[in-house]
Amino acid sequence: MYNCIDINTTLTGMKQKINGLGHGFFITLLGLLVFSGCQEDMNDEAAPIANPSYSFKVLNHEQVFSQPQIAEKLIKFKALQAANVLGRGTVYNEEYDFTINTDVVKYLYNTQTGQDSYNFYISRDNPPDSYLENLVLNLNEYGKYEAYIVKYGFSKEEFATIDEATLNSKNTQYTAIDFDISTLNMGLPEGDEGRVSMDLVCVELWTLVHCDEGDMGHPCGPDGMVWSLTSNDCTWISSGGGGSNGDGTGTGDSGTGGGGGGNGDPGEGDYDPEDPDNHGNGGNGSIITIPVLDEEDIEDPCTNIQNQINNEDYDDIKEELNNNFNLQEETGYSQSTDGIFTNLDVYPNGHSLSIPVLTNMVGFIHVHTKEYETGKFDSEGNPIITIPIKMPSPNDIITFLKLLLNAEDNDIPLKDIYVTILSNTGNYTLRFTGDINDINIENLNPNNLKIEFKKYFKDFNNKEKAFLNFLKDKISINGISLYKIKNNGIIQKKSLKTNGQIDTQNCN
Amino acid sequence: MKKLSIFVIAMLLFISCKAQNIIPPDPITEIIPIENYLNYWENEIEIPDNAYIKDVNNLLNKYIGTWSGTYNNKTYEFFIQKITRESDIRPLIFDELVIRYRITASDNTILEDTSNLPDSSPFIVNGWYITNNNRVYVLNYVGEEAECGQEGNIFIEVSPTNLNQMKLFLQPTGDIILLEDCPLGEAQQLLPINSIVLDKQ
Repeated sequence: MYNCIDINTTLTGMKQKINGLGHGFFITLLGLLVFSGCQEDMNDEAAPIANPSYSFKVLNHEQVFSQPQIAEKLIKFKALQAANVLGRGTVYNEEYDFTINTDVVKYLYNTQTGQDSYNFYISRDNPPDSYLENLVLNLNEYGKYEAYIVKYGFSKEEFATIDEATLNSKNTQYTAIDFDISTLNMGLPEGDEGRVSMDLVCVELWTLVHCDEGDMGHPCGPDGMVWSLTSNDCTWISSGGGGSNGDGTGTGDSGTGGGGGGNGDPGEGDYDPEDPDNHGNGGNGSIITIPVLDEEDIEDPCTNIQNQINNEDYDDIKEELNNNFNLQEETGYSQSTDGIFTNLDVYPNGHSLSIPVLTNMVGFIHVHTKEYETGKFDSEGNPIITIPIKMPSPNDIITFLKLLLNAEDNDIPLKDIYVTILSNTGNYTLRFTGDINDINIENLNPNNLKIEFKKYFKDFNNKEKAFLNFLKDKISINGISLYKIKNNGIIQKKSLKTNGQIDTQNCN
Repeated sequence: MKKLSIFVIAMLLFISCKAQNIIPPDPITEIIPIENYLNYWENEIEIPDNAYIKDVNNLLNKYIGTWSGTYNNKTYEFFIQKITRESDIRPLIFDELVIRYRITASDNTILEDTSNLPDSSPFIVNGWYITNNNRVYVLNYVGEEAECGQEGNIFIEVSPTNLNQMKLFLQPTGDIILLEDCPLGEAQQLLPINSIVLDKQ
């Protein structure tokens, strides 16, 4: 690319040395040739770059707490604000009267600036209105995380069908809260502490972010995109607590914070611009967020799988099937919404299991057999062995998709739908966290899928890689996730890294 | 002369800029004999990109040709080719066998004929591995009713004492079969599930 630019300069020098009209032809030809040869590169260079450029993924509880700054914030929040841990990944805070879910957290990252934010779903027993609220830890320009309660200008129901124009007409309210010390409450009358907070009003820009299947824990929007919000040029205003003195406003251009609260000390601001831990976000930085809609939105398959393997009936079935690895045909059970397991029939003189998709079916568990003797022998008298593939088959996947569509039609929660295979080398289960509208089984040709499946398992020696690549390339439905359940009870989510290697995330 | 020089320079520059967009094929990083492939597969040993799983010792050549035999009053003809396949899944090259076949009833009715299907057809039987003692070659097969269980592995072995004779059988693989897609149950297997002895034509 740079060579071509140098060449143009060289040609300019040559041009000055050429006299006479006849030279014009060559100069024109030269220009055309060089332009043509380099045009593609130049176009590459001039390609517009999306701004802002975000990547997005969903983190689980362990991933969130593996980030020291985030973990510190959350731990302090629990310790100082009299929070109660309701369970793994659920924190209730009495002062703010909301519950934070840390099981699944939406992480937004600006690939150009390095800024990021962690977005948590929060719920209240008695919400004052239907507007969607999240807790956001947003990285400021000093490399520290600031905490905000973000109240979007829409309900989760409105958000499901909202368009860009409507989004950009909405106002989002940012309420800064401090996890470290109650600086916002300093100087306030007894009893008013904790009810005063600082709000921001910002210039808002909604943009779509690609929704990466591998890291996804919630439905992607249309075309695999989700909305993100960038807020710039924020202005502080006061809210709550105290009296009515002062107009409560101030610009945030210097990051000093604007109007004070009810005590009428505008401008003093508890946000110190020199304090990277607590400088506010007045104008210098931006706040980037991505809405976390509700508990359904952040439903964690890990929890569902854990609940399933803790179920005694399920465990009994699994133990029974574990004795069938040496058989020459598959064996298994389907499960209905009432929890009842039904034995799947083996076709007479066959090797396959018959499964009817019933309206109340949530899933099925079955055995993929180990290597077994075919009953034939080679010319040396050695038994000929057949090698089954011990991963969910194309038919398993198609049946799983049909169960999901059936569930949608019959008001069965999609999070309950599963397919599990048991084998002597590992147990795997499929779960779905995508958009049901993305499932179109009419496009899936079983014959082609079966032969392609076998090719993937020939070309990839690693069975998980083969399966995940097949899933990505040939099924191509966002939100189908593969989990391995180890014999020691550890549940692992398996996905593909961008370099093609397997990413293993422990659930527990 | 000066004009000519400038023109030649320009042509060279043009070619140079264009050449930047040409991606040369990657060189082969490793050659793995086909008889070692099963060990890689069973033990999930990583095969590096741009490896060539090659029939270094010509173990597959004896299978090449047309083989014919009868089974349950049907005539079976198998057309076996050795190909070098460049994977469209990842950068790998395989030497492998592919089989097309024709099944004819005793009244000369053609029951199945894949002999003229293109390489892209799912009904072309594709090679998988050769067993550890190099005796038996295993291929992947799907039939037209694959979703109803018409699929499996085909095992072939050329007799070590008579290179014009070969045994073949299909081992169906088990799977989940959706009742709504296969109301008649598991499909009948068209290929012999008991060993058939074939003669080289």
